[in-house]
Amino acid sequence: MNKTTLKNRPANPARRRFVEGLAAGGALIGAGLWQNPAWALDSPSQPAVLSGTDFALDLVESPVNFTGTTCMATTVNGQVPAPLLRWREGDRVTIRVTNRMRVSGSIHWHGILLPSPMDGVPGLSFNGIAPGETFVYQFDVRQAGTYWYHSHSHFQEQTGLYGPIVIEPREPAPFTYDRDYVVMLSDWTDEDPDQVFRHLKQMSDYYNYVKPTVGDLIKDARKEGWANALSTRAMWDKMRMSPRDLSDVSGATYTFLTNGVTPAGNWTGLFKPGEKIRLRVINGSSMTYFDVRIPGLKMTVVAADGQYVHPVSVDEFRIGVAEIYDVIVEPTEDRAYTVFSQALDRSGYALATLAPRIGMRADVPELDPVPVLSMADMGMAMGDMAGMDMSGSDDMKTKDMPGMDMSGSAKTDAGMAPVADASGGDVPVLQHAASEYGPSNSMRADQVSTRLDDPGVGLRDNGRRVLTYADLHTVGGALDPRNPTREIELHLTGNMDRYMWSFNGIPYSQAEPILFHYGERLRIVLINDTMMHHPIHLHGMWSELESPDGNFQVRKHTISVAPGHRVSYRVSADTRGNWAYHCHMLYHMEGGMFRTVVVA
Amino acid sequence: MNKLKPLTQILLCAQFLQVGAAFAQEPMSMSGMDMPGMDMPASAPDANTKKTDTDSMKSMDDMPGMEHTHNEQPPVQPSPPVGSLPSSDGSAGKSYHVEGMNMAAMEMDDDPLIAKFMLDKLEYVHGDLTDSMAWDGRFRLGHDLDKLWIRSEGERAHGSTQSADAELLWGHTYAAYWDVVTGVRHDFGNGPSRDWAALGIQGLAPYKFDVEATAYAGPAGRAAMRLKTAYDLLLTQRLVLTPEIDANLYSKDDPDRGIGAGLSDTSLGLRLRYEIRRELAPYIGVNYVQKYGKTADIARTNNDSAHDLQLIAGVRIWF
Repeated sequence: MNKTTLKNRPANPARRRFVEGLAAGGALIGAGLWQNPAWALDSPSQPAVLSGTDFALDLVESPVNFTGTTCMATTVNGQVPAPLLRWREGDRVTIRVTNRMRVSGSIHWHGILLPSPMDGVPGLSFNGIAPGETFVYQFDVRQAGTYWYHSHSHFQEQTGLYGPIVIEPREPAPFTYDRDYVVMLSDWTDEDPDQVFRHLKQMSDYYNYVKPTVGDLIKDARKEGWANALSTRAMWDKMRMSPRDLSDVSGATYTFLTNGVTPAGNWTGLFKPGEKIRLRVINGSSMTYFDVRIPGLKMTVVAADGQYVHPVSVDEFRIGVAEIYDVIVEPTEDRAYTVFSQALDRSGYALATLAPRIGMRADVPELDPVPVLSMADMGMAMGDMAGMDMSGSDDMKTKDMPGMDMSGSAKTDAGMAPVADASGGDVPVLQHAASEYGPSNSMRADQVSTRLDDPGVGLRDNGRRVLTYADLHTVGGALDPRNPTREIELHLTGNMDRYMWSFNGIPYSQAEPILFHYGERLRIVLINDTMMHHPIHLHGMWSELESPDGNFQVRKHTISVAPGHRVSYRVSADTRGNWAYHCHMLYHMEGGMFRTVVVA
Repeated sequence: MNKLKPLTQILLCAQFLQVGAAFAQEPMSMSGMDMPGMDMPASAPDANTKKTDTDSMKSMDDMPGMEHTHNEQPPVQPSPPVGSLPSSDGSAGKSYHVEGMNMAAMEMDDDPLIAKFMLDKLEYVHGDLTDSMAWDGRFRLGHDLDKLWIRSEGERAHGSTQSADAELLWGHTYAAYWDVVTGVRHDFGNGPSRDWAALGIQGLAPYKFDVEATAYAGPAGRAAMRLKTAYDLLLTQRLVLTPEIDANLYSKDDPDRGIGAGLSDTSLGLRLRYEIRRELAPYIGVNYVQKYGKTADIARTNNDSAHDLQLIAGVRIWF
């Protein structure tokens, strides 16, 4: 009855090939040559690395085959992912991008500070690159670290147009390592992304095969009694929501890739025992949050979104779409290790191996149980939880839900003084825009958590040390020491049932540009009224995340906002022009969770 | 065959119990918080946070140049708390066009034209007296909030259409889960055809009931109403049990179409489908049709039965 956990090796061979992909899958170049870009920055033989100051990139449609079915991908130079670009901090780079496709294309340099006309968003900062045309991007590289690039045209990002960027720092990194690998995670579908979007518009839970069933109800009832199980189910049904509404697009259509290689293909990074390996983990997927771990190895996180952070040692981290973490691992044993990246909804995983010799494999862990959202994840105030016992969900055992502490005697620790407390707590949502009450939005949070130390649904209390934003402290602090002088508050909204997405209930086609005054330091406050995660990306300027008490925490280009949470971050409006501001879930963006920002 | 009736009732009762249980929990007070499952060791040290400092210090020892980084930050003024600064939604009050943006070039469409053809039921019906084929389908074409709807249902037996109707409606979404629909309905099949003006709502009610309620007005002062509600109960991810209730009401007798005034007929259905894929699901089921009052009388006059327990096999298709 319980179908919530996909077995690691589905019994059905066709399904197994689909989940794990082809061993030799990837981009098909020329007359049947299989090519997997094997990025090893400090190791010999790197076919897909381009470095220097002058680059020529061709946007081409190329056949690929990850599942047994040959499909056309949108690629750079015929490769999925696109070639790794190596720049040096301080250089002026010139990139000639020629569109050899039949449709218009573009490249956006994600997280890179540059003049607006070089940002690569058609309609906003330039006109896109028409078929047959060449566009010359030229800008000074003012930063160092790990970034990525991708198309900003239609759904080309889903069909393969994404690749990593590594910028060498002028000053040596404040840590050492012997090997350097990019680990770029992505999600591939054989379906036309237009069809994926159409399916979601026709039936928003089209790809969701982890919905609560009668079997789940019986299981819950055994644990907590029928009255509790039924009332929990009734409460969700009453709201017309599902506690398993985790991912819109799942392993039902996706094959998850590491560096463009399927789990069966097993991308392998070599090491000698005792070496330090830097892994630059980039989530280049369209719709998938990954929970990444390497059983047997601690990972020391040394950079977030390209920027150095004070090192923190973890067992696992969740990486939102478009986020980047650099980690150092030190395998000492002469054995293989699995880099296991399971999708948030546990509908599949990307897989890679670190090994002393090629051809080795380590055990592949079982997928974790499918997470279950709690009412707190939904932004429901305590009053609404009366009578609810969610002990059936593992998440309830966490201490990361301060709102729940209130059942006992008065506590003085986190949660009771939400505004001033450094660790944050639950705060009421004081107002919602009038536009949030229209048909394009179906939920409004009563109460949200400001805590950054919540590992998130499905990771709480899993026995592993899980990275949270509270662990991340950018080395050197904020770039701009000024305090913000005003706030822009936006709510992340949507009508899941109709697959409509928006800020403040207004999809981008109905919205107006957001105005930043040139030179100002402002604060953006985001409240997630929906039940999904949203990785929010501001082009052209850093997003400097604040701790719950409003102090600088970590500098990022993409800020993931968990359901039922509020985050705030500072922006210095230091580059004039038109910029995109959006959720980096591709179909959320397409569905309306997109705004433009004018710095003037 | 009548053995199936209690089963239907039990399943429907189970649904109502579930709803009832939820209502019973309605009063929302803090006393509800004293649940055993809610009692959490808030005082227990947070292993995550406790470990952070020592771990990061250790790692930093391994990394030359990192020892003093904690002291690098320049002293800053205390930050104004969130909510203490002037706040807005940031809107410039100007259109994209004024700001020199070309939204068409972005090739994004957050409100595309979407079509969906849904044949909810296409089934063979084995009744007490007759066997027939029945359909119930709808087609929608439009954008997120405004759509054209075509709805049709009916049955065929003995090589001819028995009773059937088709509706052409314009639907407007006025609330997150609700559309108002307005348009026309045409009845055809046995007897003279009838035309109606239609006004109704359709959507998803709390507790995830699919609901359609439509009122009709015809010539000669005829009025009618139709209610349909259904609920999807997932036995597994692909095996779905759908209880369903339909009812028709008429203001005037229409003996030529076998209809009497008042509540004319109800139908209680229970269908079990297996989704081979989302768009294709064969099903089996039972349907209990009951005619009331004059409608029942007319049926009996025509040597037909006032009630019919039907066995059903069919397929649900959409694209």
